Parts: sequence; structure tokens; C-alpha cells
Amino acid sequence: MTDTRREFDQVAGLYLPIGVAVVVVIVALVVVMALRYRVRDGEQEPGDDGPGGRRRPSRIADAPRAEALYAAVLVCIAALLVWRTFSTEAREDHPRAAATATIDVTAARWHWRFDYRGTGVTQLGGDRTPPTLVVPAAQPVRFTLVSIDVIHAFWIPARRFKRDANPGASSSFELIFPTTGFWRDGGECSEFCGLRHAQMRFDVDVRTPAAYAAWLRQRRAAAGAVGAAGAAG
Amino acid sequence: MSWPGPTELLWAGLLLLLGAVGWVVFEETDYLSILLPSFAVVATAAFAAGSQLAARRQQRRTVEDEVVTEVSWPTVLVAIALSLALFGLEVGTWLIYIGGGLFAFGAGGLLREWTAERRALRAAPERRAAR
Amino acid sequence: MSATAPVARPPRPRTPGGLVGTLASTDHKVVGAGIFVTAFGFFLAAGVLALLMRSELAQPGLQVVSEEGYNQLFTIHGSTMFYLFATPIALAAGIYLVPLQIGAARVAWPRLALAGWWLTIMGGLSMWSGFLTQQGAADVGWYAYPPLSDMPNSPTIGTDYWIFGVILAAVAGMLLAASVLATIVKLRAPGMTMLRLPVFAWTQVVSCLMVLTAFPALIVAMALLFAQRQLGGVLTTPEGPIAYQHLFWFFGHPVVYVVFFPFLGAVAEAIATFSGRRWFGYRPFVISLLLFAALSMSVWGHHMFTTEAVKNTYFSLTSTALLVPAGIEYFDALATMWRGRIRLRVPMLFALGFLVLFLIGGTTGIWIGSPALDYHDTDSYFIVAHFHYTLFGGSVMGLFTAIYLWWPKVTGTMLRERLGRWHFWLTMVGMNLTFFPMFFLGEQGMARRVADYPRSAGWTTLNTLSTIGSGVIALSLLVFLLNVAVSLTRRVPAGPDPWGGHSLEWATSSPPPPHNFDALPPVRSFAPLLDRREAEQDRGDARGAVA
Repeated sequence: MTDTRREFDQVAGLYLPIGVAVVVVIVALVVVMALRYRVRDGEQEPGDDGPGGRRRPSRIADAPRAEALYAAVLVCIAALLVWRTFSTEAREDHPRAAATATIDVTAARWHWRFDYRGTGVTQLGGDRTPPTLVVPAAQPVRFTLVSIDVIHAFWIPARRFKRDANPGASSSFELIFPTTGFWRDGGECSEFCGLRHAQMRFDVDVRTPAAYAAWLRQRRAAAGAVGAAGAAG
Repeated sequence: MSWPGPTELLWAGLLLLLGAVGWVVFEETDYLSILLPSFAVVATAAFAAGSQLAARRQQRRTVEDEVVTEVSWPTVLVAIALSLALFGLEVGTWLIYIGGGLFAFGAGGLLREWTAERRALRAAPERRAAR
Repeated sequence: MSATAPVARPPRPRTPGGLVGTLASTDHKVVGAGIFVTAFGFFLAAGVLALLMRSELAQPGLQVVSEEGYNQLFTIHGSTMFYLFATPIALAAGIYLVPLQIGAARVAWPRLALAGWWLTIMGGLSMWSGFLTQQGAADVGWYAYPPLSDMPNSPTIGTDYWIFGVILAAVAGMLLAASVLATIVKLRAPGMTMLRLPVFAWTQVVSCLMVLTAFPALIVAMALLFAQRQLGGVLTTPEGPIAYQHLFWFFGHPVVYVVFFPFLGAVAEAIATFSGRRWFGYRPFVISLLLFAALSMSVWGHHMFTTEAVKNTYFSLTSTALLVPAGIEYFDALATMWRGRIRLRVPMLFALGFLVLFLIGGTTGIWIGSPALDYHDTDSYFIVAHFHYTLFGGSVMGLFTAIYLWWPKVTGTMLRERLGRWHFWLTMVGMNLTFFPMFFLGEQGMARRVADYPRSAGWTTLNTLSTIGSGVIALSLLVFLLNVAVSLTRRVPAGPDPWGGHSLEWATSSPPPPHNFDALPPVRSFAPLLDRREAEQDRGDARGAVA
């Protein structure tokens, strides 16, 4: 099972401390060097090494061994990061778990449409109200994603995941939502898609599997009732 | 000339190597293997050819002998003419014609500049010899 | 005597053809300065657009501009900054300085440089003329992905003029790069081998190589896009848009290095000069520069991690590997300062600011080079923060390093130290206040290129802070312009070498004469003037020992 947020946190857990350490160490070195070797105004004529035993700048112009050693350390850091990333990438790109629900996501300027495959249930928003993506908690949910016009991107920040929605080519991925809850504007389009790109959002509603099943039944019944009413009329 | 040899070859070699890694190790045979090597080879070859030509021309005269027109309005005219012709794709064919006409003027001017430069260049050594 | 002198060197007016003649001059200094001023004008103009955007985002809701207006603002802001400001100004610095650094009297192919200036101007006029049309300027982003940029989705004329502008600017960039590179190939002074090129000249070499390799891809992409808009059937879905993205980013990633390396070079020159030391580890630096440039030609796919159309692992590997040459550059910078005599003059301050700010841009760049992290952060404000730390914190800080370092050489007068310090500290404060909050906004889920955000998201405070920061940046630029005005009106003569420079441009007068040099010192290393100074010191020591 690929919990995208956990994968994100794991990779970040290695990258963040290294990154912060690098920034802190180098900024400290820059500041220390600048202050330690600073010469004050009044003694700053170039080449000034007059009386009083003023220090001259060092003339050492390279240190091939130290630099090679340092480069080797850099290569090791890069290798560590790449190894961490690759092992995550392998899991995210080849999900193994069987999904319990499949939701076909259609992106269009500037709306989302969620079709629950095999149920006939569809979630659509209104003109100014975003649709709600209802999913079961703690179960892998399979998504297929396609656009009918321009390129969009399906982003659920809480899951630390996004994927481009390309016109004419569908993409599929699995997400897992560990905890129940309701996220207003919990999903959004993150690929610029024109005029109302900023409004292209959806709410995310994660329910317990039982509540999800109940919701699905109710929506099917409503859809069936509408269908029956239409047939009767 | 110590260059364009080593630097250029190193540049093209590095790009080819990176393309090869993508192709062989990562089995990326689509855009990576097309874009990287082809642009690398074409660009470096083009520049190598250009600089070889320039270097050969350079051998015939020294830097001090080079005479360059100090103010070159025809160059400006050519640049503007080509831009106008490009805008003509949107504005209409008439602007392409205007751009083409201005380009002809500019090209004529450039030709005049070059012949004048060559004349001055031929005159220069004699002047020096006479002095 | 006085009768024969003009024959030996015919007197040449400073600007042949008068003031108007500067517009068609083939003197590399006039062309370089002209492109520089033009590009800086575009920088200020695009900065005004940024201020408008930040004003809009200060609070939720639409107060300043409409959504259409906002989309035009960020498109023209980004396009202007890349195509009309950063690339031309980076290469203009090469047009002006490279002949001086390598002891040449002119650039090779000066007409190409002159044409490059005019094509940049025409491209800029074309791109900005969209604001005069009824439907406004282009509003498809600086990358203009189809199908959004296709005619049915973006039928505005402004988008067509934007395409022309990009093509003209790209051609201009190639002409300038060809001129600079040919100058380095053809016109080096006696003794100036490739491994004695000053550091700045080397950064110009790699930038020009990248321009000549990468920019054709942009021209092809723009031509295909124009054909698609006018005729259709060229970039058809689903493969067409992906092919376009490949072509675009094959240009689009290298270009950020094109506009980075020359300023890295300027920073290196400043650090060496103001530490009184030779740039440390010259040969490893040159090799790492070439490696840096080559690697950065092979990372474009990291802009496409979420498309599923690229081998993410390959592009992640090459992107992460960039930390090796970047780390070597930092090593050399710090080692140059080590046991130096550091004078914290304004160019040095900006150089140190560059080291600090680019570091943040660089480390966050390694972060998003990991697909698992990029899946979350791409196309969010995290990216906006990241690349502004590289492009503003890196390139623009490097640009101001270059301006303060070489202003005395170009104008013959000094900029004011006190105003320069104000400029520097305001820039540091404004830059961090503007862009650091954006890291958090992106992590919290704020997408890029949005004119508005929901109040319920809780992003208002960070956005307001960021907007205040943008005001501080604007203030810092006003201080800079004031400094320029003061420097030009109340001239403090600079003399040929006010800083104790290392390379040949400091061996001639300020500003240099039309022919650049009356005499050249011998070139035995990449820092000939420092060689001379050290030799004088040694002679002084020897005399002292004898006495």
C-alpha cells in the first residue's frame, strides 16, 4: 500500500535535516570568514601591507587533495539522497494493493467530475460550489484521471500528491486516506488552466468504510429514483 | 589555436555521455535519447564550423588590421526589417512585403559597408609601408 | 610630433555619429551598455507587474485586477524576466566585459551583437504590445503549454505577439552568445590561453555554449506553437503537448543556468578581489563549471515529473547530481575568503548575499529534484519561492554584484558606499520577507498562478507579509536608482583600478578608450594584475631583507 503522505514524510525526513544542516553550516562559514578576515576601513588600500606587521592575504591557490576529498563527500551525499528517492519511487510507481473503489476523475475548465465506477454515482459541483470527493478511509482508492480540454493537475495537498490530467490520455494512480474528516477546498487544480484556474477546487470527505458504503447506497438509490421517475414520466 | 578543440569536445562528450546513461541505464529511448545528443552534436558542430571559418579568416589578417565600420545603420535596418516581416505573419502580407523591402535596403547597405571595409583594409598596409 | 600622432592612431570621437549614433554603434562597449540598460528597463517594468500581483494577493478576494488581468500579469512578468531581462543582461555583460578581460580591442562579429540588441528591443515591443490590444497581452504563462495556448482556448492576438517576442528574443540571445563565444575563441591576447581566462570569462563560455545548444529548441517550440494556432494539426493531443513540453524545457531549464553562471562569475571576481586573493581552485572550478552546464542540459524532465511522460528516476539522478559541482563552487568561494584580507565593500556584500540566498534556492532545488517531494510541491508556491531564491537571490544579487563591481570601470565614477549599503540590506530584508513565506504557502497547498485564494485556507497573514516584502524590494531599487543618479551627477572619479582588481579590464582607463588598451601587461595566469602586485610585494620584501 502506498501512503503518499508517509512516503513524502520519509523522504523529507532525510532531505530536510541535511538541507538545513548544509544551509546553517555554510551561512555560518560565510559570516565567520567575513568577520574573521575582515580588514577595517582605513587599512583597506589594495596591497597595503605597511608597517605594523599587517597580515597579508594567503597565496595558497588550490588544494587538490582536500577538494577531491570534499567532492567525494558530495558524491556520497548525492548517492544517499538518490538511493532514498529511488526506493520510494519504486513503491509509488508500482502500487501492489488491490483497490476497493475506483473513481474516474474528469477535469474540465473549470470543474471536476467524479464518477464512481460500476455504481452510476457521479459527483458534480454547482456553478460556484465545488464538488465533494467522497472516499472511504484506510482503503486504497484507485483513480483514473483525464482532461477533456487543456492540461489540469489533480492535487490533494493533505495527501502530498498531484498528477497531471492530460487531454486524450488517461492516467491512473492509487491513494490512501488514513483518517476520516472533511477538508473544505481539500483538492485543487495546480496546473494553470486559464481564466478561473483559482476556483477549480473540490472538497474532500473521507468517511469510514461503512459510512462510505451507506453514502454510496443512498446516492445510488437517489440516482435510481431519478432514473425511475424519468422512465415513469 | 588551443580552442575550439578541447572545450568543445569536452562539452559535446559530456552531453553524449549523459544521453547514453539515460538510454542504457534508464532505458529512456524516447525524447532524452533524441534531444540531448542531437542538439549537442548539431550545436557544437555548427559552432566549430563557424569558428574554424573565422579562425581561417583570422589567419590572413591580424587584429589591428581589422577595420569595422563604427556605426552600422544597415545592421539595425536588417534587424528591424526581419522583425517586421515576422509581425507580418499576424498583421498581414503587406507588412511582410515592407519588411522584405527594408531588408533589401539593409542588405545593400551591409554590402557597401563590407566592400568599404575591405578597401580600407587593402589600403591600410600600403599607408603604413609608405610612412 | 603632434601632426603625426593622429596618423598613428586616428582620433575617434567617443560616440561616432553623435548620441543617435550610439544606437547603431559597433563598439562592444556601446552595444553592451545599450543592451544592459534596455534589459534593466525591462527588469523594472516586470517588477512593476510583480508589485501589482503582490497587491492583488495581499488579501483574499479580487481587489486590484481581474482574473484576466492577473493571468496577463504573471505571463508577461515571467516572460519579460527571462526573455527580455535575464538572458540579454547576462550576455550584455559578456559583450561589454569579455573583450576587456581577454585583452581584445573589440568583439568578434560586432554586427551580430548590434542586431541582438535591436532584436531584443523589437521582441520586447512585440511582447508588451499585447497590453494595447483589446483582449490584452498573452495570458498563457511564460511556458505557454498547448492546448491552453492553442487558438480555441486562447484566441487573443496578444498571444501571437508574445510568440513573436519570444522568437526574436531567442534569436537575439543566440546572436549575442555567438559573438561572445567567438570573441573568446578568436581574439584572446597573446599569452591568454583557455586556462588563463578570468573566471567571469569562463562562466560566459559555458553560458554561451548552453545558449547555442538549447535556444534552438525554444525557437522550434515557438514555431510549432504558432503553426498549431494558425493551421492546427501540429501539436495534436495527446502526444503533441508532451512533445512541446520536452522542447520547451530542453530550453527552459538550461536558460536558468544561462542567466546564473555569468553572475556566479561576477560574484567569484568580487570575492577574489575583495579578499585580496586569487580565486581558489581555478582548474577544479573550470571543470566543475563544464560539468555543471552539461548536467543542467540533462535535467529538464524534472519539470515533468507529474506528467508520467518521462523517466523520473533518470531526471532525479541528474538533478540531484547538480549538488556536486554547486558544492565545489561554494568550496572555492569559501576557500578564497579563508585567510584573505576581506574588505566588506558593497560589491562584496552583494556577493556574500548571493552565497547565502542562492544556497537556499539550491538546497530547495535538490529537494524538488526528488519526485516523491516534487509530487506535492510542483506548481505550488513552494516552486515560486525556490526559483526566486535562485533567480532573485542568485542572479539578481549577482547582477548587483556585477553592477557595483564594474560601475567604476564603465562610467569612470564611483557609486556611493552608504547608499549601496542601504540598497543591500533593504534587498536582503525585502527578498526574504517576500519569498520565504512562499515556502510555507506552497507546503500548505497554495497553487501557483492563482489570482485569489479562499479566506478559510488561512494563508492571509503569510501573503500579506510577502506583499510587504515586495514593497521593501521596490524601495531598495529606488535607493539603487538614487545611487545611480547621485553617482552620475556628482562624479567621484574612479581611476583605472579602484578595487585592486585581478584581471585585464583594470589595466586600462575608466571608461576604457574605444580601442580598449594602449598596452597590455604580460598574461601568465588568470589574474595578471594580481601577479604584478604580488611580484612588487616580493621585490619590496627582498629590498627590505637586504636593508
